[in-house]
Amino acid sequence: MPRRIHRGNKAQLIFFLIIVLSVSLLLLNLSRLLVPFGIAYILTLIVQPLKRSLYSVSIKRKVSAILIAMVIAFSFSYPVIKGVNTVTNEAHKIEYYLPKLENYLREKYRLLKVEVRERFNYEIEVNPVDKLVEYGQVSTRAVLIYLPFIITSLLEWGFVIPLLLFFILKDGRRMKHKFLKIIPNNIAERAYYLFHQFNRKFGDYIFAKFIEAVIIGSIITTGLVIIGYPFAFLLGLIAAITNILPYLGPFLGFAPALIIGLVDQNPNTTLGAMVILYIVANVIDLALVFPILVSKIVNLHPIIVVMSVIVGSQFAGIVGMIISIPFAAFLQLFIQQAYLEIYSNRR
Amino acid sequence: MKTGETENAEKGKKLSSHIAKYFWQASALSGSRKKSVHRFFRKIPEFDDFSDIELYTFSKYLHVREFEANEVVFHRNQAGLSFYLIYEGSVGITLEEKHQVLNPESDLKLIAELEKYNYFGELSLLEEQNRRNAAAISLRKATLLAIYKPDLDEMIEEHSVVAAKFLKALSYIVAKRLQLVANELKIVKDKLREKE
Repeated sequence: MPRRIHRGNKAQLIFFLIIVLSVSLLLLNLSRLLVPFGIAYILTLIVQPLKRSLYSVSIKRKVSAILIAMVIAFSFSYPVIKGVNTVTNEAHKIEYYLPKLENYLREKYRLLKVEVRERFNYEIEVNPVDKLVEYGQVSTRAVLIYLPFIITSLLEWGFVIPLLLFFILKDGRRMKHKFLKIIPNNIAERAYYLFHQFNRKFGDYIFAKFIEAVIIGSIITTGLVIIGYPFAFLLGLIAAITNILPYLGPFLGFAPALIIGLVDQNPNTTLGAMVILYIVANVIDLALVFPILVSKIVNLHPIIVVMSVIVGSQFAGIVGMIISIPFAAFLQLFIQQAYLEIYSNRR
Repeated sequence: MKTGETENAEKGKKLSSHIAKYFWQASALSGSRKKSVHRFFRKIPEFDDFSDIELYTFSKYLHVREFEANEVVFHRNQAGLSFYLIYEGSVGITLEEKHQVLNPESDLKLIAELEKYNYFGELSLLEEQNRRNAAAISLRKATLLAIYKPDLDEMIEEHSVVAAKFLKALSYIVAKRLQLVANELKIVKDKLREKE
């Protein structure tokens, strides 16, 4: 007698896909919701080790969620309130630096023009300096105008993000159980596993990168303060942020320091010491921090890393560059699982 | 079986409502105890080591999966990531390959028929990159309690005592299975010797 085989419920699968698609579309279209929610989610992943150690000493879920949210709220707001002054002052000073930069560029350009005329007897017609200066002025002004808005939204996030974080930490498991309930039986096991692996890879990567940025930022800032270089805090912050980008980041972080050094005619400015400092900081990063922290998490070939960064930048700009690597690592895992699945009968 | 959900029955000021409800269900006076997870695990000898509160903690990591009659739980050689306990219904274990299991005309040869309080798939939690040795298919409408590999990892870090007891239970199960295999092997060897 033929058996009637239940091949999984199609309605369940469609319902599940509709839920996943509509939630992601909703989040993607509401950037005001997406940014704090995304940061809260990333922070949840980052604080996982802390959460686990709190549980293991029998601190309850709710209490540990409150504790972590408070620590995050404090450590998020304190540097914003304290650091805003320093960074704003330095950013304002940049405005006075621009004329210096302009003069420097004009002078260099004039000398170049003269040299070309003498050597090759050729008159350079184009004038890129004007355009460059104009672009610089416009973008600096834009940053200065938007600075208050950025600070306001930072403060708004300072309240919203810890709140979201608290609820994700407190009810995370219940949400996960509910989510798993709507996954159809035939894909539940693998979907749950991939979801977990993605969370783990993503969380570990962001955590490692955060630590790396803090280390690089502190080394550069401390070093610049010691050698008496101008804009130590701003340059340290830029170096920390750009360091998140692989390969390209260190150069992007170094460029503003070099420009300031070249433009500044102050005899106290020690260009050589600054260059050595940046080299030392990046060597420490490459030789110690990166192998210990990051490479263990993403086991990807350098070519794949570079390619994923390029693809990421094309799709989502700087954010794309940052998240492209854990995403590529996840994709690798996904392909591995699919491979195991497809070739499972050929063992 | 709603250990993880609030049912506004008892709201003690200091005692959490979940725990109060759990003890209420565990008590001999409770009418609803037949349905409780506590009652269920007390029927499985491998979980004897667990105290009531440990069973309560453990039950938080479990997922309830409902299967229709003749629905495949997993195929043979499929990557295995979870351990199942049968809470309701029955599950058949077969060595047939995927295409045979999915072919309505083929006659399934079951090597075991598991009922309530039985379990299967324990090796998937103990092995990296596990492949299922056999296929599992629900024979009638079944409710299974599943624990997934990531949950076990989480449990080890969050509630290490409970996780250690669970792993101990798993090793009892595996030891029991090994014993069975050794016995079977002995019988086969004896038969071979007789034929010689």
